[in-house]
Amino acid sequence: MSKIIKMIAAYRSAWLPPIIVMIIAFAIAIFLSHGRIELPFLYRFT
Amino acid sequence: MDLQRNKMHPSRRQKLVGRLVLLLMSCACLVGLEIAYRAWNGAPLLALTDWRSRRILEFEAAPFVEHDRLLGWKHQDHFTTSYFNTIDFGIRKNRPGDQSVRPGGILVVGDSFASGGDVKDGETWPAQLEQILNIPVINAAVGGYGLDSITLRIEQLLPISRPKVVLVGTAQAIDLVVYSSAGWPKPYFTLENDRLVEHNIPVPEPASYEHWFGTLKQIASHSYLINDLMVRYAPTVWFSESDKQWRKVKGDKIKISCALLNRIKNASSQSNAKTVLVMQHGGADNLGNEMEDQLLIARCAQEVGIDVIDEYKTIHAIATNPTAFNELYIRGAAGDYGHMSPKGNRLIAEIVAKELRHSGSLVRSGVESR
Repeated sequence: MSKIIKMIAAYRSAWLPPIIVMIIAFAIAIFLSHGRIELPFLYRFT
Repeated sequence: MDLQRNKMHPSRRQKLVGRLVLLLMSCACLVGLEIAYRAWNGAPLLALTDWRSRRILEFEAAPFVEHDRLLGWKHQDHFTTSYFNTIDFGIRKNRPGDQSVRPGGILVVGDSFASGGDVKDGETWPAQLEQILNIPVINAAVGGYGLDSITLRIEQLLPISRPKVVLVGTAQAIDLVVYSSAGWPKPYFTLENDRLVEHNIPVPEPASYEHWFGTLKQIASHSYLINDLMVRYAPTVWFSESDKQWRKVKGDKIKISCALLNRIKNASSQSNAKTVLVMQHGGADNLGNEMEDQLLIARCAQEVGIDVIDEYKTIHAIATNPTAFNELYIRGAAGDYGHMSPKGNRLIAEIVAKELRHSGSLVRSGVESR
Protein backbone atom coordinates (compact mmCIF):
# COMPACT_ATOMS: atom_id res chain seq x y z
CA MET A 1 0.00 0.00 0.00
CA SER A 2 2.72 2.41 1.01
CA LYS A 3 4.58 1.51 -2.19
CA ILE A 4 1.57 2.62 -4.26
CA ILE A 5 1.33 5.85 -2.29
CA LYS A 6 5.01 6.45 -2.85
CA MET A 7 4.52 5.83 -6.57
CA ILE A 8 1.63 8.29 -6.74
CA ALA A 9 3.64 10.87 -4.83
CA ALA A 10 6.60 10.36 -7.13
CA TYR A 11 4.52 11.14 -10.21
CA ARG A 12 2.59 14.07 -8.74
CA SER A 13 4.26 16.45 -11.19
CA ALA A 14 2.56 14.46 -13.96
CA TRP A 15 -0.97 14.11 -12.57
CA LEU A 16 -1.37 17.21 -10.46
CA PRO A 17 -1.17 19.92 -13.20
CA PRO A 18 -4.03 18.46 -15.32
CA ILE A 19 -6.25 18.30 -12.24
CA ILE A 20 -5.46 21.91 -11.28
CA VAL A 21 -6.07 23.02 -14.89
CA MET A 22 -9.36 21.08 -14.93
CA ILE A 23 -10.58 22.72 -11.72
CA ILE A 24 -9.69 26.20 -13.01
CA ALA A 25 -11.30 25.44 -16.40
CA PHE A 26 -14.47 24.22 -14.66
CA ALA A 27 -14.69 27.40 -12.62
CA ILE A 28 -14.21 29.55 -15.75
CA ALA A 29 -16.81 27.50 -17.66
CA ILE A 30 -19.36 27.92 -14.86
CA PHE A 31 -18.68 31.66 -14.80
CA LEU A 32 -19.06 31.92 -18.59
CA SER A 33 -22.21 29.79 -18.62
CA HIS A 34 -24.15 32.74 -17.19
CA GLY A 35 -23.88 34.65 -20.46
CA ARG A 36 -27.22 35.13 -22.18
CA ILE A 37 -28.13 32.89 -25.08
CA GLU A 38 -29.31 35.28 -27.77
CA LEU A 39 -30.91 32.65 -29.96
CA PRO A 40 -32.36 29.99 -27.65
CA PHE A 41 -33.34 27.97 -30.68
CA LEU A 42 -32.84 28.23 -34.39
CA TYR A 43 -35.35 27.60 -37.08
CA ARG A 44 -33.94 25.61 -39.96
CA PHE A 45 -36.16 26.29 -42.91
CA THR A 46 -34.21 24.62 -45.69
CA MET B 1 29.97 1.56 -16.18
CA ASP B 2 27.19 -1.02 -15.78
CA LEU B 3 26.19 0.52 -12.50
CA GLN B 4 25.94 3.94 -14.12
CA ARG B 5 23.73 2.53 -16.95
CA ASN B 6 21.44 0.89 -14.39
CA LYS B 7 21.03 4.20 -12.64
CA MET B 8 20.17 5.95 -15.92
CA HIS B 9 17.55 3.41 -17.02
CA PRO B 10 15.10 4.04 -14.17
CA SER B 11 15.39 7.76 -14.82
CA ARG B 12 14.45 7.38 -18.48
CA ARG B 13 11.68 5.00 -17.58
CA GLN B 14 10.44 7.42 -14.96
CA LYS B 15 10.35 10.20 -17.55
CA LEU B 16 8.46 8.00 -19.98
CA VAL B 17 5.97 6.90 -17.33
CA GLY B 18 5.64 10.50 -16.18
CA ARG B 19 4.72 11.65 -19.71
CA LEU B 20 2.31 8.77 -20.10
CA VAL B 21 0.64 9.64 -16.80
CA LEU B 22 0.44 13.29 -17.88
CA LEU B 23 -1.17 12.31 -21.18
CA LEU B 24 -3.66 9.92 -19.59
CA MET B 25 -4.51 12.38 -16.81
CA SER B 26 -5.03 15.17 -19.34
CA CYS B 27 -7.46 13.00 -21.31
CA ALA B 28 -9.17 11.87 -18.10
CA CYS B 29 -9.46 15.48 -16.93
CA LEU B 30 -11.00 16.62 -20.24
CA VAL B 31 -13.60 13.86 -19.90
CA GLY B 32 -13.99 14.74 -16.22
CA LEU B 33 -14.49 18.41 -17.05
CA GLU B 34 -17.18 17.53 -19.60
CA ILE B 35 -18.99 15.24 -17.14
CA ALA B 36 -18.71 17.74 -14.29
CA TYR B 37 -20.14 20.50 -16.49
CA ARG B 38 -23.01 18.26 -17.56
CA ALA B 39 -23.68 17.34 -13.93
CA TRP B 40 -23.68 21.03 -12.96
CA ASN B 41 -26.28 21.74 -15.67
CA GLY B 42 -28.37 18.63 -15.06
CA ALA B 43 -27.61 17.18 -18.51
CA PRO B 44 -27.31 13.43 -19.19
CA LEU B 45 -23.80 12.57 -18.04
CA LEU B 46 -22.75 10.05 -20.67
CA ALA B 47 -25.05 10.72 -23.65
CA LEU B 48 -23.23 10.94 -26.99
CA THR B 49 -25.54 13.64 -28.33
CA ASP B 50 -24.95 16.15 -31.11
CA TRP B 51 -25.81 19.11 -28.86
CA ARG B 52 -25.42 21.70 -31.62
CA SER B 53 -28.03 20.09 -33.88
CA ARG B 54 -30.45 19.86 -30.99
CA ARG B 55 -30.71 23.64 -30.88
CA ILE B 56 -31.94 23.76 -34.44
CA LEU B 57 -35.67 23.35 -34.90
CA GLU B 58 -36.26 21.63 -38.17
CA PHE B 59 -39.49 21.84 -40.02
CA GLU B 60 -39.89 18.37 -41.53
CA ALA B 61 -39.03 18.38 -45.22
CA ALA B 62 -38.74 22.09 -45.73
CA PRO B 63 -38.37 22.24 -49.51
CA PHE B 64 -41.40 24.53 -49.38
CA VAL B 65 -39.12 27.54 -48.84
CA GLU B 66 -37.75 29.56 -51.76
CA HIS B 67 -35.48 32.58 -52.12
CA ASP B 68 -37.24 35.95 -52.29
CA ARG B 69 -35.52 39.16 -53.39
CA LEU B 70 -37.46 41.32 -50.92
CA LEU B 71 -38.06 39.08 -47.91
CA GLY B 72 -35.00 36.79 -48.04
CA TRP B 73 -37.20 33.73 -48.38
CA LYS B 74 -40.84 32.74 -48.33
CA HIS B 75 -43.06 29.71 -48.68
CA GLN B 76 -43.63 28.57 -52.22
CA ASP B 77 -47.03 29.28 -53.69
CA HIS B 78 -49.40 26.31 -53.99
CA PHE B 79 -47.09 23.88 -52.22
CA THR B 80 -48.81 20.63 -51.35
CA THR B 81 -47.99 17.91 -48.80
CA SER B 82 -50.08 15.93 -46.34
CA TYR B 83 -49.47 18.47 -43.58
CA PHE B 84 -48.21 21.72 -45.16
CA ASN B 85 -50.11 23.44 -47.96
CA THR B 86 -50.06 26.93 -49.34
CA ILE B 87 -52.15 29.14 -51.61
CA ASP B 88 -51.11 32.37 -53.40
CA PHE B 89 -48.21 34.38 -51.90
CA GLY B 90 -47.08 31.30 -49.96
CA ILE B 91 -49.89 31.80 -47.46
CA ARG B 92 -50.48 28.65 -45.41
CA LYS B 93 -53.87 26.99 -45.67
CA ASN B 94 -55.99 26.72 -42.53
CA ARG B 95 -58.30 24.16 -44.08
CA PRO B 96 -58.04 21.93 -47.16
CA GLY B 97 -60.77 24.00 -48.81
CA ASP B 98 -58.79 27.28 -48.74
CA GLN B 99 -58.10 28.25 -52.34
CA SER B 100 -57.44 31.98 -52.37
CA VAL B 101 -56.77 34.95 -50.10
CA ARG B 102 -59.95 35.88 -48.22
CA PRO B 103 -59.90 39.64 -47.61
CA GLY B 104 -61.47 41.54 -44.76
CA GLY B 105 -60.40 39.37 -41.85
CA ILE B 106 -57.26 39.01 -39.76
CA LEU B 107 -53.77 38.96 -41.28
CA VAL B 108 -51.13 37.07 -39.26
CA VAL B 109 -47.47 37.67 -40.09
CA GLY B 110 -44.78 36.30 -37.83
CA ASP B 111 -42.11 33.62 -37.48
CA SER B 112 -42.28 29.84 -37.13
CA PHE B 113 -44.36 29.92 -33.95
CA ALA B 114 -47.14 31.72 -35.83
CA SER B 115 -46.53 29.81 -39.06
CA GLY B 116 -46.98 26.55 -37.16
CA GLY B 117 -43.61 24.80 -37.21
CA ASP B 118 -43.95 21.02 -36.80
CA VAL B 119 -47.76 20.95 -36.84
CA LYS B 120 -50.34 20.36 -39.57
CA ASP B 121 -52.16 23.19 -41.34
CA GLY B 122 -55.27 23.02 -39.15
CA GLU B 123 -53.24 22.83 -35.93
CA THR B 124 -51.47 26.21 -36.17
CA TRP B 125 -52.74 28.94 -33.88
CA PRO B 126 -53.97 31.15 -36.77
CA ALA B 127 -56.03 28.20 -38.08
CA GLN B 128 -57.45 27.54 -34.61
CA LEU B 129 -58.13 31.26 -34.14
CA GLU B 130 -60.24 31.14 -37.29
CA GLN B 131 -62.19 28.21 -35.83
CA ILE B 132 -62.84 30.10 -32.60
CA LEU B 133 -63.73 33.49 -34.11
CA ASN B 134 -65.33 32.17 -37.28
CA ILE B 135 -63.77 34.92 -39.38
CA PRO B 136 -61.04 34.59 -42.05
CA VAL B 137 -57.53 34.44 -40.61
CA ILE B 138 -54.71 34.57 -43.15
CA ASN B 139 -51.56 32.79 -42.00
CA ALA B 140 -48.78 34.61 -43.84
CA ALA B 141 -46.14 33.87 -41.18
CA VAL B 142 -42.86 32.31 -42.32
CA GLY B 143 -40.34 30.41 -40.21
CA GLY B 144 -37.09 32.19 -39.41
CA TYR B 145 -38.42 35.68 -40.09
CA GLY B 146 -37.07 38.66 -38.24
CA LEU B 147 -39.28 41.67 -37.55
CA ASP B 148 -37.68 43.25 -40.64
CA SER B 149 -39.00 40.60 -43.03
CA ILE B 150 -42.29 40.61 -41.11
CA THR B 151 -42.64 44.38 -41.68
CA LEU B 152 -41.96 44.07 -45.41
CA ARG B 153 -44.37 41.16 -45.76
CA ILE B 154 -47.13 43.06 -43.97
CA GLU B 155 -46.61 46.02 -46.32
CA GLN B 156 -46.70 43.62 -49.26
CA LEU B 157 -49.89 41.86 -48.19
CA LEU B 158 -51.95 44.76 -46.79
CA PRO B 159 -53.35 45.80 -50.20
CA ILE B 160 -54.00 42.17 -51.14
CA SER B 161 -55.63 40.90 -47.94
CA ARG B 162 -57.24 44.23 -46.89
CA PRO B 163 -57.41 43.02 -43.25
CA LYS B 164 -59.30 44.64 -40.39
CA VAL B 165 -56.72 43.43 -37.89
CA VAL B 166 -52.99 42.71 -38.36
CA LEU B 167 -51.47 40.29 -35.85
CA VAL B 168 -47.68 40.53 -35.62
CA GLY B 169 -46.30 37.28 -34.19
CA THR B 170 -42.87 37.29 -32.57
CA ALA B 171 -40.95 34.54 -30.86
CA GLN B 172 -37.40 35.04 -32.14
CA ALA B 173 -38.18 37.83 -34.59
CA ILE B 174 -36.79 40.59 -32.36
CA ASP B 175 -33.36 38.95 -31.99
CA LEU B 176 -33.07 38.47 -35.75
CA VAL B 177 -33.27 42.16 -36.71
CA VAL B 178 -29.52 42.47 -36.15
CA TYR B 179 -28.65 39.67 -38.58
CA SER B 180 -27.91 40.17 -42.29
CA SER B 181 -28.03 36.42 -42.78
CA ALA B 182 -30.07 34.04 -40.63
CA GLY B 183 -29.48 30.81 -42.45
CA TRP B 184 -30.04 32.55 -45.76
CA PRO B 185 -29.35 36.22 -46.53
CA LYS B 186 -32.14 38.50 -45.40
CA PRO B 187 -33.13 42.18 -45.44
CA TYR B 188 -32.21 44.26 -42.43
CA PHE B 189 -32.55 47.83 -41.24
CA THR B 190 -30.32 50.26 -39.41
CA LEU B 191 -31.28 53.51 -37.71
CA GLU B 192 -29.70 56.66 -39.07
CA ASN B 193 -30.86 59.92 -37.44
CA ASP B 194 -33.81 57.94 -36.01
CA ARG B 195 -34.87 56.92 -39.51
CA LEU B 196 -35.00 53.33 -40.71
CA VAL B 197 -32.59 52.62 -43.55
CA GLU B 198 -33.01 49.33 -45.39
CA HIS B 199 -30.08 47.14 -46.42
CA ASN B 200 -29.48 43.99 -48.41
CA ILE B 201 -32.46 44.59 -50.72
CA PRO B 202 -32.62 43.01 -53.24
CA VAL B 203 -31.57 40.12 -51.06
CA PRO B 204 -28.80 38.06 -52.72
CA GLU B 205 -29.38 34.39 -53.38
CA PRO B 206 -27.94 32.01 -50.77
CA ALA B 207 -24.44 30.83 -51.64
CA SER B 208 -22.35 27.90 -50.45
CA TYR B 209 -19.23 28.35 -48.38
CA GLU B 210 -16.72 25.72 -47.41
CA HIS B 211 -15.58 25.60 -43.81
CA TRP B 212 -12.21 24.05 -43.11
CA PHE B 213 -13.32 23.50 -39.54
CA GLY B 214 -16.54 21.73 -40.47
CA THR B 215 -15.34 18.30 -39.32
CA LEU B 216 -13.80 19.72 -36.17
CA LYS B 217 -17.11 21.44 -35.40
CA GLN B 218 -18.98 18.20 -35.90
CA ILE B 219 -16.76 16.43 -33.38
CA ALA B 220 -16.91 19.34 -30.92
CA SER B 221 -20.73 19.38 -31.24
CA HIS B 222 -20.77 16.28 -29.06
CA SER B 223 -19.34 18.20 -26.13
CA TYR B 224 -22.04 19.75 -23.98
CA LEU B 225 -19.54 22.24 -22.59
CA ILE B 226 -18.16 23.42 -25.94
CA ASN B 227 -21.66 23.65 -27.41
CA ASP B 228 -22.96 25.63 -24.45
CA LEU B 229 -20.15 28.18 -24.58
CA MET B 230 -20.19 28.50 -28.38
CA VAL B 231 -23.97 29.04 -28.41
CA ARG B 232 -23.52 31.87 -25.92
CA TYR B 233 -20.37 33.54 -27.22
CA ALA B 234 -19.94 32.65 -30.91
CA PRO B 235 -23.34 31.60 -32.30
CA THR B 236 -22.71 32.92 -35.81
CA VAL B 237 -19.57 30.79 -36.16
CA TRP B 238 -21.09 27.81 -34.41
CA PHE B 239 -24.30 27.57 -36.43
CA SER B 240 -22.98 28.52 -39.87
CA GLU B 241 -22.69 25.62 -42.28
CA SER B 242 -21.62 25.37 -45.89
CA ASP B 243 -25.07 26.38 -47.15
CA LYS B 244 -26.41 28.21 -44.09
CA GLN B 245 -24.73 31.36 -42.90
CA TRP B 246 -25.32 33.41 -39.78
CA ARG B 247 -24.02 36.97 -39.91
CA LYS B 248 -24.62 39.65 -37.35
CA VAL B 249 -24.60 43.38 -38.01
CA LYS B 250 -24.17 46.28 -35.61
CA GLY B 251 -27.36 47.74 -34.25
CA ASP B 252 -29.64 48.10 -31.25
CA LYS B 253 -32.28 45.42 -31.71
CA ILE B 254 -34.74 47.10 -29.35
CA LYS B 255 -34.57 50.51 -31.04
CA ILE B 256 -34.74 48.98 -34.53
CA SER B 257 -37.67 46.75 -33.52
CA CYS B 258 -39.53 49.71 -32.01
CA ALA B 259 -39.03 51.70 -35.21
CA LEU B 260 -40.25 48.73 -37.25
CA LEU B 261 -43.34 48.37 -35.05
CA ASN B 262 -44.05 52.06 -35.61
CA ARG B 263 -43.71 51.52 -39.38
CA ILE B 264 -46.10 48.54 -39.21
CA LYS B 265 -48.57 50.58 -37.20
CA ASN B 266 -48.48 53.44 -39.74
CA ALA B 267 -48.88 51.10 -42.71
CA SER B 268 -51.78 49.28 -41.04
CA SER B 269 -53.49 52.50 -40.01
CA GLN B 270 -53.32 53.79 -43.59
CA SER B 271 -55.14 50.60 -44.60
CA ASN B 272 -57.66 51.08 -41.77
CA ALA B 273 -56.41 48.00 -39.98
CA LYS B 274 -55.74 47.66 -36.26
CA THR B 275 -52.32 46.31 -35.24
CA VAL B 276 -51.84 43.84 -32.40
CA LEU B 277 -48.50 42.36 -31.30
CA VAL B 278 -48.65 38.69 -30.25
CA MET B 279 -45.55 37.93 -28.19
CA GLN B 280 -44.51 34.30 -27.88
CA HIS B 281 -41.41 32.84 -26.24
CA GLY B 282 -39.52 29.57 -26.27
CA GLY B 283 -40.57 26.95 -23.71
CA ALA B 284 -37.45 27.48 -21.60
CA ASP B 285 -38.06 31.24 -21.57
CA ASN B 286 -41.63 30.74 -20.38
CA LEU B 287 -40.32 28.67 -17.48
CA GLY B 288 -37.97 31.45 -16.34
CA ASN B 289 -38.45 35.12 -15.54
CA GLU B 290 -39.86 37.39 -18.22
CA MET B 291 -36.96 38.86 -20.15
CA GLU B 292 -36.24 42.56 -20.05
CA ASP B 293 -36.10 42.75 -23.86
CA GLN B 294 -39.67 41.53 -24.15
CA LEU B 295 -40.89 44.13 -21.66
CA LEU B 296 -39.11 46.90 -23.57
CA ILE B 297 -40.66 45.79 -26.85
CA ALA B 298 -44.12 45.56 -25.27
CA ARG B 299 -43.72 49.06 -23.85
CA CYS B 300 -42.66 50.67 -27.13
CA ALA B 301 -45.42 48.84 -29.02
CA GLN B 302 -47.98 50.30 -26.61
CA GLU B 303 -46.42 53.74 -26.96
CA VAL B 304 -47.11 53.75 -30.71
CA GLY B 305 -50.66 52.49 -30.17
CA ILE B 306 -50.22 48.77 -30.77
CA ASP B 307 -52.13 46.45 -28.44
CA VAL B 308 -49.95 43.73 -26.96
CA ILE B 309 -50.96 40.14 -26.26
CA ASP B 310 -48.20 38.36 -24.35
CA GLU B 311 -48.50 34.63 -23.70
CA TYR B 312 -45.97 34.73 -20.86
CA LYS B 313 -48.20 35.15 -17.81
CA THR B 314 -50.67 32.45 -18.84
CA ILE B 315 -48.06 29.92 -19.86
CA HIS B 316 -45.67 30.69 -17.01
CA ALA B 317 -48.54 30.03 -14.58
CA ILE B 318 -49.11 26.61 -16.18
CA ALA B 319 -45.47 25.72 -15.44
CA THR B 320 -46.50 24.90 -11.86
CA ASN B 321 -47.97 21.76 -13.43
CA PRO B 322 -45.02 20.31 -15.43
CA THR B 323 -47.16 17.71 -17.20
CA ALA B 324 -49.60 20.32 -18.46
CA PHE B 325 -46.74 22.64 -19.41
CA ASN B 326 -44.86 19.96 -21.34
CA GLU B 327 -47.96 19.12 -23.35
CA LEU B 328 -47.90 22.62 -24.83
CA TYR B 329 -44.65 21.97 -26.71
CA ILE B 330 -43.21 19.55 -29.20
CA ARG B 331 -40.28 18.15 -27.29
CA GLY B 332 -36.98 16.69 -28.38
CA ALA B 333 -35.63 13.30 -27.32
CA ALA B 334 -33.85 14.85 -24.35
CA GLY B 335 -36.88 16.85 -23.26
CA ASP B 336 -35.89 20.15 -24.84
CA TYR B 337 -38.69 22.50 -25.92
CA GLY B 338 -39.37 23.09 -29.60
CA HIS B 339 -42.33 24.65 -31.38
CA MET B 340 -45.76 24.59 -29.80
CA SER B 341 -47.87 21.45 -30.04
CA PRO B 342 -51.42 21.51 -31.46
CA LYS B 343 -52.60 21.86 -27.86
CA GLY B 344 -50.18 24.73 -27.22
CA ASN B 345 -51.36 26.46 -30.39
CA ARG B 346 -54.96 26.00 -29.25
CA LEU B 347 -54.13 27.80 -26.03
CA ILE B 348 -52.49 30.67 -27.95
CA ALA B 349 -55.53 30.93 -30.22
CA GLU B 350 -57.79 31.07 -27.14
CA ILE B 351 -55.61 33.75 -25.50
CA VAL B 352 -55.57 35.83 -28.69
CA ALA B 353 -59.32 35.42 -29.26
CA LYS B 354 -60.11 36.37 -25.66
CA GLU B 355 -57.85 39.43 -25.73
CA LEU B 356 -59.15 40.60 -29.10
CA ARG B 357 -62.73 40.36 -27.83
CA HIS B 358 -61.91 41.82 -24.42
CA SER B 359 -60.13 44.85 -25.91
CA GLY B 360 -62.97 45.43 -28.36
CA SER B 361 -60.49 45.23 -31.25
CA LEU B 362 -62.78 43.06 -33.36
CA VAL B 363 -65.82 45.26 -32.90
CA ARG B 364 -63.92 48.54 -33.37
CA SER B 365 -62.24 47.28 -36.52
CA GLY B 366 -65.58 46.10 -37.85
CA VAL B 367 -64.55 42.48 -38.23
CA GLU B 368 -67.13 41.33 -35.69
CA SER B 369 -70.51 42.85 -34.89
CA ARG B 370 -71.63 43.73 -31.37
